[in-house]
Amino acid sequence: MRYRSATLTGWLVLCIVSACAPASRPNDPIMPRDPLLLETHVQPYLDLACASIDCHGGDGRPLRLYSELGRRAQASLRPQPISNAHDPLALTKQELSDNCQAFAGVELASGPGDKQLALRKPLAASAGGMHHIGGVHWADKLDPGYLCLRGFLVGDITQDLGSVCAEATAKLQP
Amino acid sequence: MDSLSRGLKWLVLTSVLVVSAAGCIGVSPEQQLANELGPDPGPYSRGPLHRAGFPCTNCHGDLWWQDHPTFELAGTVYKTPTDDSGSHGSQVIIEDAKGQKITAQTNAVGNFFLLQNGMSVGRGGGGGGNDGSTVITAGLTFPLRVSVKTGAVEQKMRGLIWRERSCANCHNKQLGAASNGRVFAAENSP
Repeated sequence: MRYRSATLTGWLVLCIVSACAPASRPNDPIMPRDPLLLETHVQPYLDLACASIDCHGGDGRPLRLYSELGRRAQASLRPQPISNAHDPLALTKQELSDNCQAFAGVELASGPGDKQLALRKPLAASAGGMHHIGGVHWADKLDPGYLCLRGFLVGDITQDLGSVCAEATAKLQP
Repeated sequence: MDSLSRGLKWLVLTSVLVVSAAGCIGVSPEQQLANELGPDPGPYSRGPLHRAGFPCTNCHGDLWWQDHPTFELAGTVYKTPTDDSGSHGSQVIIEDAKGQKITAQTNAVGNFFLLQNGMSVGRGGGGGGNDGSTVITAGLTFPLRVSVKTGAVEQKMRGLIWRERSCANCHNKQLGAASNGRVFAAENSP
């Protein structure tokens, strides 16, 4: 009985500690396309860089993405216009999961690792990228935006995912 | 008789081929976009006041040759999210990726449009006045950061514009999954 109680307390403490810990630390191994990392670090960058309605939030676009400012899965998720007075609703778990699936689909169609189109299209041709109607977003593979997406999709960056994503997002803030 | 019959056959065959080929050509994507707008609901005839709230560059775009002039960016500003009247005299403040800053002013129906240097609206105005037009000297470089100001009230768009040149293609009248509703400056009264 005492053993069961101690185990329960142990689990409780572990859960509390896990909840308080940041989603990623510099040397944590990254699980590719982890929805939690997407929500915490990557989605704010995607919101500004990729998922606007005139780009990957557009109807019928390859790699269609949901975002707070762009396309929502249902109209009810945007009950009022986003404005000074009204913030957007956070993405649902389903929308985040669908975004992960969208990236998985692109990887399946184009190849693993850094061959996947999501990493090559926004990259300058001189750095190994390819033509992208949305333009060149990353001059080279050291761009924080590239590292943010590569960390999320491949998981092999040495930098802290949270830091590179925050830096990439800050550069695009209106 | 035999050669006449053969000639008739060729004539019929050629006609069928010509008609089939014409059917395959169809309409261009640009024409299709323009057609989807439907007839102009009025009340203004063609000019700076017509088709408020419509995606202007579906016809006045650089891929289009029919409706001169072509716009770099254009749209309609409304008084509030739910008010059907356009906001006259609002400012649309645009900064492009190269740091070019432009302030456009809306006309009587809330329309504004940026014209490339050398273009004019033809009838109804000439750029830089109350007609909603603003002439710019260099083309816009995307992404754009935009805000709208009516009097002292300013709304800053929280996202960036990456390629779209018509506000209404994303800001439909109907708020929904793929639209933040109309462009406005003042909030609805509580």
